[in-house]
Amino acid sequence: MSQVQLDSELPKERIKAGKNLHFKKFKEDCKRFIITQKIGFVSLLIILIVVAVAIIAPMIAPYDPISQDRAAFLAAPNAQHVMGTDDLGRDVFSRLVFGSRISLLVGIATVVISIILGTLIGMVSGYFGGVVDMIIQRVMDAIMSIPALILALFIAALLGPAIQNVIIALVIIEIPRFARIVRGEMMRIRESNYVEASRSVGASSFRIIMKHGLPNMMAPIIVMASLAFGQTIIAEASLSFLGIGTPPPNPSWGLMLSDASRYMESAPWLVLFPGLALSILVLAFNLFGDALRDFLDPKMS
Amino acid sequence: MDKKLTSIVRLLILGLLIAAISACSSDTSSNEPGTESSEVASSEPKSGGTYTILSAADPDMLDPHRQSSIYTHMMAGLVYNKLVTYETGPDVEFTDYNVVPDLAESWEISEDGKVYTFHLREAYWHDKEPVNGRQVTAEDVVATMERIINLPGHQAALLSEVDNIEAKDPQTVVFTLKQPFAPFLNFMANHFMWILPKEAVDGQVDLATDAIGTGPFVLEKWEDNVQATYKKNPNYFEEGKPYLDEVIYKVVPEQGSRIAAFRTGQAEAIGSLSPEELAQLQKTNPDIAVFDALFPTQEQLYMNMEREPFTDLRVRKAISMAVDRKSMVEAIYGGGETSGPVNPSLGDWALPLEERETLQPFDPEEAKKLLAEAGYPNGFDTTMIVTNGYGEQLVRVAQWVAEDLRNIGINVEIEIVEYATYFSERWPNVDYDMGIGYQTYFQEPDEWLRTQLHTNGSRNWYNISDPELDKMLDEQRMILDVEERKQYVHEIQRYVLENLVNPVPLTTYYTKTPRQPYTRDVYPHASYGYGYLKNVWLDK
Repeated sequence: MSQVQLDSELPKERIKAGKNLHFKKFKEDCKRFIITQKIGFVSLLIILIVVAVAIIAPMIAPYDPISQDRAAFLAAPNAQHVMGTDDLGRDVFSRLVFGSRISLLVGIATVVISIILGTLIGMVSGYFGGVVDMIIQRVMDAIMSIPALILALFIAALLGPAIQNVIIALVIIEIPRFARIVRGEMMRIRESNYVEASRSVGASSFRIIMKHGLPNMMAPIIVMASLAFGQTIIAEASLSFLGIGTPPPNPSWGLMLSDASRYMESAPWLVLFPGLALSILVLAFNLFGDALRDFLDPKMS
Repeated sequence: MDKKLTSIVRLLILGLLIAAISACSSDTSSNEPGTESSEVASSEPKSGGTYTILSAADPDMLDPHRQSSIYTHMMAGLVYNKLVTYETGPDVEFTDYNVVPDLAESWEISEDGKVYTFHLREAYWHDKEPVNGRQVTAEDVVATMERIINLPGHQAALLSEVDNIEAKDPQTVVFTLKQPFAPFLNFMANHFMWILPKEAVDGQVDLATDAIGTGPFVLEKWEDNVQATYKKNPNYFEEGKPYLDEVIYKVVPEQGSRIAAFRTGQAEAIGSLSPEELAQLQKTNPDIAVFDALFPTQEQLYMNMEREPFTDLRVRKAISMAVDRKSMVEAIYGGGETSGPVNPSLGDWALPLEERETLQPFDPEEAKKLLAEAGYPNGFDTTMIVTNGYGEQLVRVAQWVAEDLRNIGINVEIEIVEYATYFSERWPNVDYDMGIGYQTYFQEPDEWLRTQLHTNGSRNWYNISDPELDKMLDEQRMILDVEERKQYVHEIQRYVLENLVNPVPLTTYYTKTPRQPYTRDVYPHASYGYGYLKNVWLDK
């Protein structure tokens, strides 16, 4: 995927020049990214660490994230419970580790589904223009005119607290953002010479969208995706915090914060650790997205 | 780099959300102040002053017969009176249910227990259109009772045993019952029995938004979801009372704001607080008084008796035995006691604490054995509904119970249901495997037992059907001797804990209510209504 996108500004022949060249180019790009985007690189490392933690969570977590240690309610961080325990005696560290799964699951599911649907809608809208574009864009306007979190709150409250409902709510608010970006790109591409050439030899609309549209707009989509990740994770936490997201006793970070908020004075570690985890992960996604954008911006490179 | 800024702003917003939610979280109980300790010596009461009550919510209407919400009925207590009411005072416990005169000065009960004759006192309606302060007559009482019977809702059931109501003369009302009915006087003291003027029953007063009664305070203005203002009733039938000039009932949805207002002396009552909130309040206001009282209801763990495996008594018993009630109430509510089929707030109608504990032991080993006997040596998977509409404490109770059940092999998946769906669909339609929830604040053992456990009970939302129990539940209603009936009610509760075990009573916690140090003669009661404010005065 990345080879293609990095080639987006390059002449057509290069793409056909063989996989070897692609790989070499990719390696060069990676090096250049590390050198020019130090913050972005560190962010990427943080994201990768969190992903790794989520995958091997059962090996890292010392306890079952929902089992309650009745001998230790609200225990301060100690040798047994490195981040203390919550009001029901559950190990905060284990919950944090397993919670990363929920954050990432919701993030990945939402972003992937939104990309697919948003891109599809955006491409149709941008390529055909006219009345189709008009209708689609007004619908998108309508969705975007409502503050995202409020809309998500509304949808999640309507559907009831469950992880899949959180994903549905967040997909609905993310789709217009992708559709907007893709539409703009598609309109630009539609007017380009190579599309005109393609059209002149009788290529179908479907072929043009898939062969010329999609590969040439990967860069902005990827940047959007990495930023959307951060937004989605925060939104999941917010919904869970308000009691209409991930249902208890699942260790969602937002839910942990919500449970902990009553003990902010007496047991601050309950707020501190999930709060930190959430801030760091979201910041990493946002900074990585920024770095990627800067890196892929032809004017800056 | 504007995205960085955006992300920082987002984090800030989340932080604000945390602060906002932390405050309004633990509000399961409403404005239900605790028992007055008698240490405050009552000196000569002073008149004057405003008493401000801050409430989390407003009722959607003031009509005391159409609406069963606690908010409506707490407010109704300022304006209306009943024929009889529950005694309050320095020597009366929060949960003592002694029936005393209210609008009825006295009453007689016929030999056969079927005819109740109430003699009205000389009382006058509030001086508002269209009643204009005329005297209360027996006609008003008859009209009100007919309204209660004819409106849809739970309230009609309270008068289901009444055959005929008659105004014998302007000051005398006679109730004739179909058969002797022990709970009758208690039902007449129930919060649904507020007496209205005949004109209001006839539709000349918009009862949804206005109120004309005989109570200690006159409703001056009600602004929905903002504030209700009450002024002293100069013609109140108790000489010299009330002492307060004004009562203000203000809606402040956010718990943090309510506490802040109390802290700075802008409010006299803010309802009960969680142990953490109270501890923080006491740091800044060390001289406030705190009143402990039994919460007038309990969490109940209930099972669908038409779904496997809850049809098996051994399974239900195992579930009851698996729950560590004592540690739970301590950990989640900061103190309380093991409950029984009749809530302990009903005083000696409930089984003594010791018996409640011995009949409902915490014994996971025995529970596992029972499960094995019932054919589930490895437990089973099931679901449990709970609503977050009662506040987050109940959700924590659900998680606690789920963990206890997991320890004996029962895997419970918690399903959080939105309050309206929970209360109007899932629970009453018995659409669940297991569930956990609070019961209404019942004030009669008959309500706790018969409405929930009888095959035809109006709140039997568990598919319970036990002919022997039905017989006992019907019989206790006929026993007019209070002591004898108490013994029988205990007998029924023992039977329920041994042979039915559904709904499983969990715990009743102690509410902690802060009170301003200058408020005097505050003697609240577990029943609904702010009527006790007639005695209250401010020493400042």
